[in-house]
Amino acid sequence: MPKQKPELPQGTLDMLVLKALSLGPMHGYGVGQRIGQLAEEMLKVEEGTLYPALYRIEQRGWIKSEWGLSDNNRRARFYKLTRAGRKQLDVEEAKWSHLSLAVAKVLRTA
Amino acid sequence: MEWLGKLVMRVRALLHRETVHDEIAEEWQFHVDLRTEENIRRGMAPEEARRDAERSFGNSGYFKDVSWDVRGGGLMEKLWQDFRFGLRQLRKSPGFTFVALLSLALGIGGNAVIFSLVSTILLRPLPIAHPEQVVAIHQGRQNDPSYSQSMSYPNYKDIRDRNQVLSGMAVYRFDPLSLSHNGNNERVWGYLVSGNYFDVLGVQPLLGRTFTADDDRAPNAHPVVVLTYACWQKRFAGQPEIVGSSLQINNHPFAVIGVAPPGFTGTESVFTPEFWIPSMMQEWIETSSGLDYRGDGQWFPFGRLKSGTTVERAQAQLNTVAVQLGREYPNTDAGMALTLTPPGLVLPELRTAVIAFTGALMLTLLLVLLIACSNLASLLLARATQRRREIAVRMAIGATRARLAWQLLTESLTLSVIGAALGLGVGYALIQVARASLPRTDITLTLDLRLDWRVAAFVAGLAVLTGIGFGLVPALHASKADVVSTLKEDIAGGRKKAWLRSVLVTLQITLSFVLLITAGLTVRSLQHTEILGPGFDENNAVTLSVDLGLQGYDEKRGELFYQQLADRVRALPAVQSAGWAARLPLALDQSTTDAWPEDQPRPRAQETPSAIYNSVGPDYFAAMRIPMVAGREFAASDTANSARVVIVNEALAQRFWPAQVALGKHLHTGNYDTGSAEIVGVAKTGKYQSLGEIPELVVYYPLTQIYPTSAALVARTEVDPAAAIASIRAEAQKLDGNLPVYEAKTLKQHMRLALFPLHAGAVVAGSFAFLAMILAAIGIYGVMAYSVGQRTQEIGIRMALGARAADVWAMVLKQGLIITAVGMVIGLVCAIGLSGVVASLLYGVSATDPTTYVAISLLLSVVALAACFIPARRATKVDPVLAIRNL
Repeated sequence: MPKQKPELPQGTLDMLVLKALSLGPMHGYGVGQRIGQLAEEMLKVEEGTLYPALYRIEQRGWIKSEWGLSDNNRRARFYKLTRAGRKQLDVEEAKWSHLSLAVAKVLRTA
Repeated sequence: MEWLGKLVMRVRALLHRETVHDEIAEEWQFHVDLRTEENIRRGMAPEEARRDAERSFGNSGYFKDVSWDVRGGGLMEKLWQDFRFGLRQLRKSPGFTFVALLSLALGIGGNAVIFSLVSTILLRPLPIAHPEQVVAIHQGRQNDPSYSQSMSYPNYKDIRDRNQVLSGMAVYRFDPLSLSHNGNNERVWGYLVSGNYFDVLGVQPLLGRTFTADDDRAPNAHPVVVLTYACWQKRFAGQPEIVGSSLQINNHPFAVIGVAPPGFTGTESVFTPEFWIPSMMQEWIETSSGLDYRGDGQWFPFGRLKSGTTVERAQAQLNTVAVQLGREYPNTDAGMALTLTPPGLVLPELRTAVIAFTGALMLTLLLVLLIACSNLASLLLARATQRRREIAVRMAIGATRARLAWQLLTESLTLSVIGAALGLGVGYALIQVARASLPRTDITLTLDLRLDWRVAAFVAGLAVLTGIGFGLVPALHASKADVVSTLKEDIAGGRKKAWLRSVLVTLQITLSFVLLITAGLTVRSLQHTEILGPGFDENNAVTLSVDLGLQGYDEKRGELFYQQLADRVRALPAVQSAGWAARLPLALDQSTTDAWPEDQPRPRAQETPSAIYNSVGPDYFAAMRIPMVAGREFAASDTANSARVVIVNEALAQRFWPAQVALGKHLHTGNYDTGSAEIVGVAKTGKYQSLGEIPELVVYYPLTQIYPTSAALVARTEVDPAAAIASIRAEAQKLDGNLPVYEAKTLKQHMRLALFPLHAGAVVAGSFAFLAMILAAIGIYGVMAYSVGQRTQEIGIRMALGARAADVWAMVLKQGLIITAVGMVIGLVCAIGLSGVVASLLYGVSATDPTTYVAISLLLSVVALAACFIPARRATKVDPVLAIRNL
């Protein structure tokens, strides 16, 4: 088997996107990169799922998008966390740490 | 608000498809470019770097589709697609579409009109602040809930000042006025109102001012008038200088002090005034005033509830005031009871009648709509059967059942939305027709029917309900199609649907039977009243009215005028006889008085029978052709100074002297404190207030003894009554060139007002029953045609085995007649069950009138047979060879 990065559990991608954008506005490519860096390349976000996720989150009102200029002066769509998004991130983070703690406990008692 | 953001996005996506698609593509391109650059930095060859970058998205087309779905395509686009697909489907079967749209448009249009009537009379609030606080106050009797009368001014003042639940209470009264303007004298209607009228309603003038308490303090001191907006526009061309100028009303100068805001025409929804004048001016308006007499009910009161006070509490408290008044003034006020209702209709019983009438109409129309819907459901079922293959194919290539059902439902919703839009058009047209056919009366009857937002909301609701109502079952049915068996062309699959359709058609026949019976009974009832007649002969007679009081005639001059004009008209060659009456029977303004026989003790105040009273001149009964049962008509010898005499109708004579001769007896009447009068004649009982009334008691005074300030002259003519009107009018002008003559018409035209509810009822019930019958016929035709189509092979085999055309005819007709018969039997049971309700709308005809039932049953059977005719003929034309070869 070639080395395979683990697949993201359902729903966690949204949380990671929110987290990445909590560090500042970024375009789609940058969001993918940022998640990769934060995960120290242990995770890879599929482009095919990243953009639908961004659109979905935008529809929920957690992020906003507008056209801007990238570092090398190209037109790019920038995403920005909204106040609702920040709140949602807090909620998801709390939920996630609770869940992972619980899962870890279960796995430890073997 | 999340859904709102979504909706905005989706609509944007739908409206700017290209932009959204471009945006997705641009974002994709940007990403791929960056990735490529990075790949190159890592050492890949440019070509390979780009390929790798593109590959990372997987299939780029798929990615764009998914993105489009999320960003906006989704539901909205599917809806739009389905809508257009539905339109295409409907265009493909124009016959079906036409029938469907026609029945929907008629059904929904009719409902829209009736609902606009309900909305106008019962729902639309007055255009004032806090309209819900305004209540009409009705004076009645404790022991007779159906009795109601208007309120006297002293009672009004006491109730206004003593109650603790109303923040204000005002009264009004309708009055005809003579308005002199531009050299013309015209009779127009106004309200006399208490000085606080506008304050209680909280109405601010558009121009000038409204009344203050000072305007209404002393009798005849403040001749001022406020105009309605419509009057200002119509008569004074909307000139603002009108405020501050003076108008001649009843030959008195009145100062115009203000104009009411547009849309405000008082609290009545039907009787609308052109002027408001303070109540203290009553004597100038009516030549006499009853402001001081407690027993004289003249005023319609309304009040504004203090905020937070409920109607129940207010009514209870007002009645304690009423009881106090009853103790203080037992002669006039004993047993008084007060009821509160929403304002708009003068009499509480009018309100009940309107609710009953519109309720019945609405129910009828909803039944028609139900028939239309079941017809559509049935047609859609048949179509779904035809489309089974199409649907099966679509399922086979991956459409889900929900998606298919949704699409079929969109089709029926498309149909119902278009039908509703057409229905609004039909409703608009019907309202124009209704407006044009409203009987013309002297009083401004404004029934301001409008397709307002309430009606639009109602129609939109109907559209959705009908769309789902007739579309849901067929949609679920059709989308259940079993792919394999359908593609293998099963035949038995149609059985269950055929059964469902038969049930629907049976239901239609039942409903149309009930409607036809109702319509038939209404028509019979109309026939009956026409045979029975109003108690006078409306053929070959004319009438015209004058209002001498408005022209300042005193009693002496007035009597002379009545006598002279009657003599001159009698001398006309075309006229046989002519006589005066204060009011014609079946006019809107009948008045009643207490009446009791002199030889019996006077009944208590609230138990005295009331009789309609009239003042008539010599020759009146001859001119009307009202037969005298006993005694004589009034004559020139009955003068103001001769002995008091009256004529009564047979109903009154029988009520008071059931076993005796009424002639020569003496009668007391209440309104005029004149002592008793001798009965010199008994006239045949007729109809006085409506054609459907139970016999009313009537007392006639001589014109000379109870002088009316306005009256109608009736002239009996040889032939062509309309031609006589001009010459009679000319005689009146010769006597007084300034006197306005109004309501000049034939007695037949006069009858139109009384006949209007019946005629309208018959026309409405008849046309809707007819529509229901047509719809049912279409339903039967549809079922039979479908069934014959399904049974082609069976029929072919039967014919090959020796069945003759007559056998096939019998077979098909039998099937149709069984459905019809079942529907009719159920309809019969329903109609008899409903006869109690229907009976209240009829007179002279039993609600189970056998003639109607037999006639309608025959009619419906014939129609059903006719509907079976074409399918049956088609069945006999089946070619056995072809039918069997196709097996």
